Amino acid sequence: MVSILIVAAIVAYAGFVIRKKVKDIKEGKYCSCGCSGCGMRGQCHKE
Amino acid sequence: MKEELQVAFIGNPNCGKTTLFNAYTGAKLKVANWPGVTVEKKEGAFKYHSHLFKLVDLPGIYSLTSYTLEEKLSREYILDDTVDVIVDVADASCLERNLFLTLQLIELGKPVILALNMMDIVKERGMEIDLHRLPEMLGIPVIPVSARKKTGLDILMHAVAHHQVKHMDSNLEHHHDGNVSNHKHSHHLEYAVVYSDEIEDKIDEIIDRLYMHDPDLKNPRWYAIKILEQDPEICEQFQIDFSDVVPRSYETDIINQKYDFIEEIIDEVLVNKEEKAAKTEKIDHYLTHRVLGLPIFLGIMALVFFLTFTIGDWLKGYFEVGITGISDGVLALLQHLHANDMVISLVVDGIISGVGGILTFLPNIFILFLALAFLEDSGYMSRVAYIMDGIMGKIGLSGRAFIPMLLGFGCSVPAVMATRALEDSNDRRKTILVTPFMSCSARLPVYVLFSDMFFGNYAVIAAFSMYVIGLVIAILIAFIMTKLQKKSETHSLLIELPEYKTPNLHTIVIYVWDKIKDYLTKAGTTIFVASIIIWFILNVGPHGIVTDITESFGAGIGKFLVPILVPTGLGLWQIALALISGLAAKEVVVSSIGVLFGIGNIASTNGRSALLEVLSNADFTAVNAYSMMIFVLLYTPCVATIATIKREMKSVRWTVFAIVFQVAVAWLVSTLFFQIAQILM
Repeated sequence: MVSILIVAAIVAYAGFVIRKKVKDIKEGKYCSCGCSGCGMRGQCHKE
Repeated sequence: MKEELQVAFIGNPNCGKTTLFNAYTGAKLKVANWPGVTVEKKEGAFKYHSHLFKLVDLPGIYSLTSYTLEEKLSREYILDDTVDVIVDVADASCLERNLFLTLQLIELGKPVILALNMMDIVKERGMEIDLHRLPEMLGIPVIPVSARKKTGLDILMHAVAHHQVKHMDSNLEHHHDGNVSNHKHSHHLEYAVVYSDEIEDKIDEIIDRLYMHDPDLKNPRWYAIKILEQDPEICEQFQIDFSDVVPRSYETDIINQKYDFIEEIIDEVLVNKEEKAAKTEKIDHYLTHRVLGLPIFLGIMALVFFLTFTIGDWLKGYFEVGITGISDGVLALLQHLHANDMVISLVVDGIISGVGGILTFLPNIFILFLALAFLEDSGYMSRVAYIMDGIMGKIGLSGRAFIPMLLGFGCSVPAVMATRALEDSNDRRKTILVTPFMSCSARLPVYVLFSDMFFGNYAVIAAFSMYVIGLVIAILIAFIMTKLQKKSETHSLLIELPEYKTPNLHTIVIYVWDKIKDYLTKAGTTIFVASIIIWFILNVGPHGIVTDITESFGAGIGKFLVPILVPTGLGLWQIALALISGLAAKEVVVSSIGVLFGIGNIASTNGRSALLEVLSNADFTAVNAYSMMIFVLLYTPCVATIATIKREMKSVRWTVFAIVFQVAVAWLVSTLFFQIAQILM
């Protein structure tokens, strides 16, 4: 039971990370680093 | 007074215009492109009392000529009747340079307000600006602001609201010392900038002819000045022959006379300027010296790496203890909870080993970015592009091409994007191709790991040499590409060299904290998922779960690549797989190695010893390690960079070429090094 819960939590979190990554790529943000310190961040977030 | 005002923000690059703009618009910012071009257009709205201000942030420009796309766009937009007020944002700490645009804007005849930004920096430098005399000389309101500290913002908008109906001061109280005008009109009562008699006579003549052509023409003086400058767009607009009045271009005369007036203004309004400028000049005499500049830069970077290794490694010790403690604690907990062995392996050998291994390098990353932040904020980093300009020119690249390459030392993604500033498409392509050779910060954990393990006291030199090799390879390849090109044309570099200043602690803390946050985020996301994938392909094979790692999917993939990597000295399937995993992010190479060789907390002293033993048993020596570092330096960058290259090049073909090219260069250089080293040893 513990093992199942642990695996479920890992899979859920990994799924969340992958989903967010895919969403970011669709929005044109490819970088795996954050944007806060990036000198070109104004270029990525276009509407 | 209109209730809805269209306000244009304009100013030199790096004057804080966008920071000021953002201070008003906040999250309600809309970003798009100007129609038909790739220049960004930012719009926002701001409510002030009963007024709705529609704000537009124009591209940063140095003047209102029509040489660049940004200048043309800004000029067209301002001349448009929709703009009610122009806010000219100037960096008060570089007033002399910013005033040229101000004078041009005043000549447009539209309501202009000068927002003197960065007044806090003026104060820090011990300078003072006479805020009574400056508006008198310019004939426009001057509002001191600090976009960073959010001071003066309300007053600025108050001035905008009341200045929408432009009115000149009744008397401009400046006078031009020593100049006696024989001109028939006393323009000093009307205009801030009054030119020589010869030019004023010509302006009058041109205005008379313009009025004959169009009696309702607004602000004919501006058009007359543009015609005197032989501005092609304006000359084409009026199909009138001015050849008798304008036998040549008077652009240089007009620019020089504007700067004469600027010098007059500075002498009158700026106090304690000479002292600060003199200090900067003295320092620049050495730091930007034609011969000494480059060695000094390399020396400074060597010092940065020395600190990264020494202080970083000392701090790393505490992280190692922490990560090892967490790993042991989680292992004990999972065993206590009777978790399945595979689950324990996934969590401890996969996730904690992978992510923990990367987190251990956080101190090195911290020191590196702390040092870079210090250099950046002091004003030194802008000198580097200037120092490299000479070398770039010799290899057929614009001096501006070094700016993206410099960004590449941090991260290749913004570095590739920064190539947009290069006008020539060949220069852009060349720079995009070589920029990933500049070692980004993500590769640092690989260098730290291998140089610590194999090079002992020379670890700093070994790691630093990667940055030098990357720079040399980039320059060499750019040089070869230039020679292969039919045409060779270089563009001159125009770059701002701000005055040196004591780095601001607050700015540095924010910068470094941002970088650490990004690193932790990457560890918790990309590296987390990559570690799970690596663990999975190492524990699962064609027949299901494997007990022998050599029968796993991962081993199969790695073994497939081994024959290709043997000449480079990297003929271990684990190394091959680690290199592939580096496509996700270069840090993953280190976390993968930990998982691949079954070593927990690979960055710890025990972990490194264990890895060294395993590698030594496989005849992996210091030569192989150096070859590994070279390969990691030069081979294809992470997928984020590849995606950015594709977006910037707008070509799948060129992107594939870039990937293949970089892998080929990595293979070639590593092979050359390894084979020659084998012969020599």
